[in-house]
Amino acid sequence: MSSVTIEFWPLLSGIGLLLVSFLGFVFAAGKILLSQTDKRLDQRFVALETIRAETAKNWEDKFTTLMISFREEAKGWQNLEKDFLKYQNVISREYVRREDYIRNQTIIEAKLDGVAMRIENLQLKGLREC
Amino acid sequence: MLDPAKTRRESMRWYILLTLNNARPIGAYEELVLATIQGIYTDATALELRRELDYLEDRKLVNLKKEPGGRWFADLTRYGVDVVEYTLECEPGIARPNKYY
Repeated sequence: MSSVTIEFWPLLSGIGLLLVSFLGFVFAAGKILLSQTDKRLDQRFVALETIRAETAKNWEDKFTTLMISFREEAKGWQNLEKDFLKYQNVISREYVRREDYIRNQTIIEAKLDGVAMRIENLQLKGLREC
Repeated sequence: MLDPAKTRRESMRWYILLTLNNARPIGAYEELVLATIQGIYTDATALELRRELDYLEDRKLVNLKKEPGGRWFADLTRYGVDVVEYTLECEPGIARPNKYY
């Protein structure tokens, strides 16, 4: 039976070489993997950033239009209020309340009746005195 | 013979008719009529007014709507308008002055 003798130092160096090359391979593979992951993450972040920016812009646009419409609405209400105040003024100046009209008119007519009666009496009395 | 109560009653009826004539075409609640009559007779009462309104209703000169809430709403009838406008002869009971205009 023949025996294979392996000397110690070449064996050690062989193992060391193997180990080093394996570690190198693992390191390189890890690095490539990491760099790829990094790249993917970067792409993803860029995409997310774009989406975020677009969303923010959309919201801003919406808020702007909303603010504009609010402002217009407020202006409309202000105009309405002004018109209302104006009409309140006009109404108190140009219109007579129905009740007041009826009362005043009737009292004037009653007074006219009274005056007419008095004149009539005066005429009758004058005739009698004549 | 002068009878102040009679004069007051009958004048009041005439003034009620005048008020309702001015309130045409809608008519008026008794509060308004009372306020008007009180402009002429300051001591006129609500009861007095209702009595005269009732009398005028009996004479078919006034339409009365007695609301469930207690208020009365009065409106002139066709005859009431004619009496106020001197189209019809006025029977005694209402102190309508002679037409002077």
